[in-house]
Amino acid sequence: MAVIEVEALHKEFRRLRGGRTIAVDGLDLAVPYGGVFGFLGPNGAGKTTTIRCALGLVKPTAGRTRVLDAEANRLHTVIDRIGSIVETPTFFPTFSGRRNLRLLGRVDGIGAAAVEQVLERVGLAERGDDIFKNYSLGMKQRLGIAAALLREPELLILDEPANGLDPAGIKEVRQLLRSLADEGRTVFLSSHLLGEVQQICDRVAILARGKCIAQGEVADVLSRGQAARMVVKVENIDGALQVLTGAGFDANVERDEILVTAPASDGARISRTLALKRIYVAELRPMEVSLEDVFLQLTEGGS
Amino acid sequence: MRLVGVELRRAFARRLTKLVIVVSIAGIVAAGLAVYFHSNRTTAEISPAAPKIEDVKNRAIQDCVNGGSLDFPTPPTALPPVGSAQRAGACQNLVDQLQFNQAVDKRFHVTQLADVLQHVSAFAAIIAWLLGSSLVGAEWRSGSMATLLTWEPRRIRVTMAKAFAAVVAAFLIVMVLQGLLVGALYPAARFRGSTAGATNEFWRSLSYLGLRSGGLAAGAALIAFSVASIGRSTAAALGAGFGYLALVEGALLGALVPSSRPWLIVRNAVVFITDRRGFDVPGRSPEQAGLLLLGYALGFLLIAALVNLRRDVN
Ligand SMILES: Nc1ncnc2c1ncn2[C@@H]1O[C@H](COP(=O)(O)OP(=O)(O)OP(=O)(O)O)[C@@H](O)[C@H]1O
Ligand SMILES: [Mg+2]
Repeated sequence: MAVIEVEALHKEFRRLRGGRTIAVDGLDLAVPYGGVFGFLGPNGAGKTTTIRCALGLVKPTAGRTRVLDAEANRLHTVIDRIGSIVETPTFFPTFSGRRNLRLLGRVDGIGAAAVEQVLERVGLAERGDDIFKNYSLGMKQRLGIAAALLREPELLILDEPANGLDPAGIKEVRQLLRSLADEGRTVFLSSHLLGEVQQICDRVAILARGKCIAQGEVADVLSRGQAARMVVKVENIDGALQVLTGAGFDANVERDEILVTAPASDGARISRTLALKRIYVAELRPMEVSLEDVFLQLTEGGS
Repeated sequence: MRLVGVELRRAFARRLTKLVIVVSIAGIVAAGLAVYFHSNRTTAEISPAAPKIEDVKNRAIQDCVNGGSLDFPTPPTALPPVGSAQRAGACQNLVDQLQFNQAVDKRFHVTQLADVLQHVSAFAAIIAWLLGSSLVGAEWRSGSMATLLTWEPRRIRVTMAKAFAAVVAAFLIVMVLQGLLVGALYPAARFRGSTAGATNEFWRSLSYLGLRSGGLAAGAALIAFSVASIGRSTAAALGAGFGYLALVEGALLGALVPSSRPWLIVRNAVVFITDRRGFDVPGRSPEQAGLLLLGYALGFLLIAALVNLRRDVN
């Protein structure tokens, strides 16, 4: 069973002077219960639009979304189990962060104590009485996360929650999201910074121009790139290249490095081959594949 | 419902609401003091004026009997024709109503409170329009509406709760301010003016007038709220409101299409408040005018709720 199901979702926006923007173009998505799910894609890929559709803010042109088994028109039956941030969190600008949260909480009968708890958890307790308008971008983001946590939701839908946070803040949020997932909640996290979320996600979906181009466990998606490669650094590049190709390796030069198509377990063999010809390895390591690389490959192939 | 309570709290916690209340109270205190000190005439100063009042009155009655044009708030057609036996009596009544003594006697009369409230009602309606439209306009502008909708996705509920808060806030504020205004002006009449005519009947009709003013403000807040919900901005509601009332009602329909007059907002609002049955919409009672305005306001709210039901929220 999936917490979020998206089926053939399609959303077009009409532009003022004719023409249309296709924001989401036949998207299928199934987010399983538990863990952190990364919803990745470059600017304008349609992440926010998909989230808006799922939260009932925007009506799909075609297709449907289900969240916690509720269709969009039954969303209110499950909304108190969902915490969300859509783009930069927006609250009443001339009210303090604390008052904004208390007003929201009151709709559900959530008391002041719970508000203090979430403010504490996102590190805003001391600045809780400042008015929202005067918060820094990172503080607004923190207040948004606090609001999302207020109902102790089992599903968090967070649209770029680390946007505007400083490095320490990003790390804090990462730990927070991980701990939320470890408590058994499902975290659905969108981001255009692929490397950023690679570390905390269990599963990802990669979105480009409104379509899903890869979906699955992080390791699977990563291995969808080309075969593993090793990076070799030596002084005598030309000589080393000759030796390696002579020994049957598939190798080529990129800038001042040699890239050898081979798994990391072949490291010893590479180093021995070169040493026998008196070429000594200065650096030998497996080439790291990042979601970014995979993403670039996938989108280049697609266009 | 909790959402309604939250919206009421929000309405009263807003800066604009507080500003309106503070400025109004300052104005009321200033008016109370000004009238108190202005209404400072000794009886010695008044008594020489007494015969003059009679003179002015008699001249006005004579003028009326002769068919002179009166810019009095009673339609000339309502008087018996010139030369008929009833004309003199009717003119006498008319002039009596005009309280000529107040024109000469500069003291503050408690009966003038009715006039004051009538004039204040237009001001109250404008304030209510501002409060009602900005209550929802500001939320669309800041984007906090989207946040609320991720908390309570049933849009009709959200619209209705906010509309209710706008109406209740406008009504309560206007009622309390009117109470304060009467309280601020009363000492001028009691200690330095005249309380003649302050019968139970007078207070009853003054209360009813105050209630109608509060009702008008509530209606104005509701229509403004609805227009601002449809336009998703405060400015849209202010612009549309004044544009419509001034240009469409005032200039176009009112002047060019006389048959539309019984259905215009401003004319019905005037009837609703002043109870001048002859002029703006002949034969319409304040209650009828009030019902018509209520119908309009609910119509606007219905349109606003339906329009926002399916629109995208960004
Ligand atoms: N209300 C709207 N009206 C018109 N076009 C829109 C609207 N909202 C989004 N779009 C368009 O839809 C496309 C997808 O936008 P969306 O905000 O979903 O992207 P995103 O993946 O969230 O990007 P980012 O990483 O920059 O947040 C963009 O081309 C955008 O211009
Ligand atoms: Mg976005």
